[in-house]
Amino acid sequence: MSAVEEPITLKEVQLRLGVRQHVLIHLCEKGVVEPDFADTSGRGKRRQFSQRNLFEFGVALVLRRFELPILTVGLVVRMLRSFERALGRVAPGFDLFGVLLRGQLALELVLYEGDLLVLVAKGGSFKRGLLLAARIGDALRGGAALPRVAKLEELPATYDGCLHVDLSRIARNVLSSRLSE
Amino acid sequence: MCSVHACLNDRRCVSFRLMGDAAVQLEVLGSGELSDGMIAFADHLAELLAAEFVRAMKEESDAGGGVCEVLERESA
Repeated sequence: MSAVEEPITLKEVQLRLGVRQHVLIHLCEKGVVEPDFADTSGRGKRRQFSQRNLFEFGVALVLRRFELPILTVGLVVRMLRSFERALGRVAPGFDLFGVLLRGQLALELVLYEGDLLVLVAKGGSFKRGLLLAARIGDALRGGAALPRVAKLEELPATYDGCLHVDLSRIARNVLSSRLSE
Repeated sequence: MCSVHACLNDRRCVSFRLMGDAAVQLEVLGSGELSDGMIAFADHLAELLAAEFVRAMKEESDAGGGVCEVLERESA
């Protein structure tokens, strides 16, 4: 995200994403999206959001369309938020959203049977794609799980069902959207 | 004689205990908010993914540019 960024109001988010405000407020109240600029902590305060928040709304809304539990949505969005921040620490100055918007990298998430989460990075010099997998089922059930990441050679071939989320496309759709008139 | 205890556990589970002749424990599970444990899990997972991601980019770069050029340009 840019160093100097104008806050986005709830109304603007509503117009950009084309969803009702109560849906957005619900995601905020459940802690799925934490406003980067301001939150309501009393009468008269307004939520104000960042471009990152817009992307988080975009991901959350896609996942909610599949009626995924709000906990699963919250965990995935939190992980993505922390991932972007962690990338910024490990590789200072690296602008993940900029790279996604310019099409220099394609990023996807695949969730197998509500448990195995695979982050897929394609493009650039990733000739075969980078596949990083972790199990999140135990954590979602409230277990004291420690995350473990494994590098896969290929996506799992045997499964009952999976959910594929195109993060690059969401970033392009959401962050390049313009206010509806 | 009866007393009622309410307890919020880990921001996720509210327990009501009715103590007395007919002790009952009711739990309202799943407020929908991530517990502290889940937040810690997500943050830790993100750190691991980011470390692997950057390591892989650097390996690819050593093997012939591409994404890591983006990384270097962005970081410059």
